[in-house]
Amino acid sequence: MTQPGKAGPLLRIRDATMEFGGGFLSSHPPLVALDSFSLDLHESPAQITTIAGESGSGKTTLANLVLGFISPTQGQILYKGVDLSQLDRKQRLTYRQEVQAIFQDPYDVFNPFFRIQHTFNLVMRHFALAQDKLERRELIEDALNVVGLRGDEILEKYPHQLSGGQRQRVMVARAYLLRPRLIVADEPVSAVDASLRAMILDIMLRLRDEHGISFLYITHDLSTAYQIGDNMIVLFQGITAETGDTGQIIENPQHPYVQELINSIPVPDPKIKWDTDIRLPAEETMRSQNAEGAPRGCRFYQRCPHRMDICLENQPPLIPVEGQHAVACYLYES
Amino acid sequence: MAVGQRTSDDASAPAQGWGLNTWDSPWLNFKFLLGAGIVLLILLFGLVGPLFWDTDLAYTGAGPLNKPPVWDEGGLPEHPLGTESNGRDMLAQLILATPSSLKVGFLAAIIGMGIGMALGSVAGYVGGWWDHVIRTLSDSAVTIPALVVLVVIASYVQMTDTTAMALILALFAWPGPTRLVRSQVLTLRERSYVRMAHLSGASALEIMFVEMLPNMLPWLAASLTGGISAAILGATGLEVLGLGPTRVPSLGLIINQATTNAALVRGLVWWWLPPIIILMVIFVGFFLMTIGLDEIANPRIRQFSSTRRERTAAGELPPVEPIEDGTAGEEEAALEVDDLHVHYFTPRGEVIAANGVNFSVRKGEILGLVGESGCGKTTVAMAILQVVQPPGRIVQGAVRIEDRDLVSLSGRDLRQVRWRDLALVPQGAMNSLNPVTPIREQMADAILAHENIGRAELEQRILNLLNDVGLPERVIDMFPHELSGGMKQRVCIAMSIALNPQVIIADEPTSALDVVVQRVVAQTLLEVKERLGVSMVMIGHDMGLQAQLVDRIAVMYAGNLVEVAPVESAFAEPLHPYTQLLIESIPSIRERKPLNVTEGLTHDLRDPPPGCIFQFRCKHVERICRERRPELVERDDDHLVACWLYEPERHSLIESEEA
Amino acid sequence: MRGLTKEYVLQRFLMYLLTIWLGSTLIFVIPRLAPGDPVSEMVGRLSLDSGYIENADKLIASWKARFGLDAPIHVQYFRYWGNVFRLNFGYSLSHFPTEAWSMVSRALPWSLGLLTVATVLSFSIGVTVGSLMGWRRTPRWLQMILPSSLAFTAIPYFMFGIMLIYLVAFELDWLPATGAYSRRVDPGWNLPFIKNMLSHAILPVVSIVLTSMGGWALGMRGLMISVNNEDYFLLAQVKGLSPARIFFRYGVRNAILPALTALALGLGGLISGSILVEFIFAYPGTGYSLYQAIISQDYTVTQAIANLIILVTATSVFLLDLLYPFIDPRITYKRTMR
Repeated sequence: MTQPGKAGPLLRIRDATMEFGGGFLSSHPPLVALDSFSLDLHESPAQITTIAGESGSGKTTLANLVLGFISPTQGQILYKGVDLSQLDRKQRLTYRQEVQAIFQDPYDVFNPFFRIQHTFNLVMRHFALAQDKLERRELIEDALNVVGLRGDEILEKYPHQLSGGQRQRVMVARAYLLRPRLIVADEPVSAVDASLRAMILDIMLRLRDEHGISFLYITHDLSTAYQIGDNMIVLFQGITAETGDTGQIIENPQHPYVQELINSIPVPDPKIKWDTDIRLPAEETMRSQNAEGAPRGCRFYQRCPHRMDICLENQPPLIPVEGQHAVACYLYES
Repeated sequence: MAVGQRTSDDASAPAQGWGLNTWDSPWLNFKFLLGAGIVLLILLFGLVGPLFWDTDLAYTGAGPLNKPPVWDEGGLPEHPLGTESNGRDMLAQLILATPSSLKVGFLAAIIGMGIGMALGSVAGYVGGWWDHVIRTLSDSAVTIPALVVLVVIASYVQMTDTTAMALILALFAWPGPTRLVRSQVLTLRERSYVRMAHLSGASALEIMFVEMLPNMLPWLAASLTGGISAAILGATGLEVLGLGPTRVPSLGLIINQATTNAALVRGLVWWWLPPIIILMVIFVGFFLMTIGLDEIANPRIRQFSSTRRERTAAGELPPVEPIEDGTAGEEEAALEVDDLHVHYFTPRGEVIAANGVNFSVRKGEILGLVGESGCGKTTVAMAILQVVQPPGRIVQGAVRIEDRDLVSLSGRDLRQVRWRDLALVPQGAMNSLNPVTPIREQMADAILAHENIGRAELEQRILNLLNDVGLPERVIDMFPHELSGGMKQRVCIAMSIALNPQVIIADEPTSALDVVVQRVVAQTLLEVKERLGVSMVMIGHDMGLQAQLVDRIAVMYAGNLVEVAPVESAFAEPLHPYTQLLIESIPSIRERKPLNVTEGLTHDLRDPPPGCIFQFRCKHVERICRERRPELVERDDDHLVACWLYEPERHSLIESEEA
Repeated sequence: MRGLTKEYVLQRFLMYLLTIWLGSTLIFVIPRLAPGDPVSEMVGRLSLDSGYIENADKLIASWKARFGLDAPIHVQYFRYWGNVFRLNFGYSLSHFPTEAWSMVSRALPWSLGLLTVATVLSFSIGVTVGSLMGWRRTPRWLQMILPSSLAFTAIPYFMFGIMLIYLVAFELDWLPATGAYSRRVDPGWNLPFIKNMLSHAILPVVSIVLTSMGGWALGMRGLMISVNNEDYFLLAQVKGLSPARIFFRYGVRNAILPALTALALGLGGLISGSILVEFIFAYPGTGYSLYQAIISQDYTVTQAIANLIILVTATSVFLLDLLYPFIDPRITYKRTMR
């Protein structure tokens, strides 16, 4: 499927909305997990795009949408110009091969019943990657070498016999084996020890630079995103709050929520203590309002130090501030 | 409970795979194997019996009437188990009846299991309306009293053979497996490995049978053995009532004939007792299999029984010898941990989770205890609180508050010290509050266990405490599930200060919370500490948070304390190579810096190397590091480190030893 | 929101109706699916017993007409449902002018009494034993003794009943073997009758309790072990609470919730088992009456009893369901925070 939209983006998400619940027999309105989300990911240059957000922001929903586990209630997700729901058999196989994932829990991704080998055999078989046993073995060995592992060390072992760092690297190797164009990395380092985190992040950088693989890096941790990310989208309760270059957002956040978020990250320097004067809202008001039905106005209204009357009227649109940098906040409306 | 149990910070035993190839495979469960053996024996009796005994004797008039077994007076050797009132030979009847009873059970249960697997996986995997319909049907079918319906059916439908009987019994054998498979599929489909298989291009059927099925095996097997005995029970019930097939001998039919012929009153014990004994043995066999399989499926139950057994085998544990105040004994110490050793006694060897840990917490300070997963920091916290879970145990050391050694206290004495002097803010408040009682009761519990105060005063006190941590008053009557994570954690903080304790252990108090909420909770902790002047041990892995919160920091690696220092000097000038690594690997939000990649090779905690425990990962490793373990020594002002690098005499030390 | 919500009650009530419908329909449908029809079957069986029946065809036709079996199946089904709904099943065949329903209502109190006592005893003893077995702080000597109470767990009630009759009633002659009371006492509220009635009830109750309590105990043990590992259980210890308080308020209070669900699900099995116990002990409850009705080919009474037992079981499950939200505050709380 090279013909349609070769010039177009690799992945295009257009106004994707995802609602859960509601329906017959339920007295609750549906929960809007993701609201009119749009995103274009280009094939080259390969980039790491961070989707940042806290629990309930909709970032995991987005990952599930891109991976095709769920379909959006409204809107479209196009891979190489074709809607995911309209892929034919061959296109679907290509999409499956080219869009891969790394998940958070490096233990849970392995079926405890099988040896590590099984993980590789599964992809080898379904995507017919190798002609014979020898080639198969070579491909696996090659993929493992990319992440700094050796086949004879791990393939015959059971998942519980590997360390957390090893398991996560095997998962990266598995994804790499398929030569994907895009890897959805859903919190890949949040269950890995700090001293091993760098290794995984470094592998991601190398896959981007040396193999041209793009990443959708889904995380709650802005600091690691700052270290490796190219672009960033910050989600708040299903809404895109701020989008732009990673450096722009982290160094110069515009949305009051993003400012609050960045201010709350503990500084790893005992000499720079938290500014205790900052007034934080009581948590009751932090509870997701859209649990009670989608509000019309800005979802950050209750907590916002700069709230205005207009914020109650409508959800603010994305307003460009500088270059790519855009903010969903009426403060920046000229 | 799903297969994946929570892997705790200091996992004592590695989670096991389901592999069938090893000798410590969970399938080698004594009860399961014993039960299977019993069932096999009975089966063998029925299958091999006809080769050795003439089964034609099982029919009317084959022998004399009412003869007792051969060992009784009047017994005949040609009828070793005696005969009944129609002259049928008991042994021959039993040989014929046993396999047919088993066959009905197996057939009905397997049909039920097949239907259950089909319906359950459709409900769990496809979901939606299918799930709605199947779940509702199986939920209500499971409560119908099966035998009543069976009896009515059997009274109309003449059952000619065991197969017809099995088919009718299968009507009631599917709801159980359906419910089981549905709930298993629902749990498993959320597992990452199932989603991974999906991404690997596996079809729904392949996911069901290759990825999910093996992980349900112990549950399915338990359900199958349970189902078989239920079906045998149902079949036997009908036969005993005389509603089963009457032309084929069956154990229930023998009992029916015995009771209708008043065998009990007439004292013909050999008529009614043998079939009952065989049935009981069958039921005991399946029962053992079922509970064995339950243990296989539930590692916690397995672990509970094995630790108990190990403890019983070891006899009374030797008490921990109290240590006389050995350290320099800091003047202002609120809490002293002295040479603490905690071991986990696993079937695969002794895991040393804390190895001679020494530190003290000064009055009014926050001491940070940091390290990565498995380093033993949580074990130390649990040891301070005297709640090390089996198979773990404090084998040596002392934990002192105001010169009282908590390790040597027990029973009422220990209970009095708890919470009054030493409180806990637990890890991840998600699960630390009792889900079924309101906050009021849980807070009152802590206060009333130590003080005798009236209702009004108690209520006022709880309200004040909630107020102290910034929670509204209505929280008092709420249940844990009605609170957000941060609110729950603040309830825990309020609870911890209820009795104004000397020391609070805060075990990763903010680890499961969002960044903003984490900050709110951390600031609440700081405020509380400032106001009450309480001392705290703050356990954590987030170095950024530690920098913000603690006064001194203690770094643990593989069960050993490697560095203890004031937080400023620890961050400005970390001495131990491991501390340096930890600090360098903090991702910064202030500057972009190249990633500092290190190998994560560690040793097996069951078999620590001689010499320094960090030697395999250390860049500066020397010969002495491999041979002798460095002591925790003060190298700078209040800055302690366990590393040979800072020992000027290290070369001569090892040479003098050789000389 | 706590306690009962409209949604929950409605949902449970629908389940209740569905259960009754399912059970009654099974009784109605299966005999008709089988080759032949119930009346011919019955007559056929009669002829087996007594050799030959004159004018069998006529007899079958007249019986069919009497039971409305000559009507089309859907008409029969609606009529049947009307009967179930009004608890009206017509006259007993074997005791003619007596109504089927009145025969059933005479048997019902005996069954309800026997079953309630046996269920309450076995559940409460089982839960207590299981909780103690699954608790780390239970004294060692108790831990050694408790498993012995599981000795009879695997044995079906009625087999245990037969052995009890043989040992206790015939060999030792301590207690009466069968029936609910002796003919020599006058039924009524007088001491000799009550004593006599109780002495008849002991063996059936004991045979149910001893064989079923082990199942509850084992289940409860597993649940208690899980609770032992919960964070709140640990926190309760650290709070310095007394062992008894931890055991009851934090341990049993949580572990018993799934056990109650299991009780609701297991009631059907319990009632099934008791039919056989009543048969063995000739205890004049619904189970024994069901047996007698079947033996005497009493079509109407059979249906009445079977439907009644289904109704009673479903009602007990429904009541337990309604009780549950008061014990577990989480059950009606649908939407979790995200």
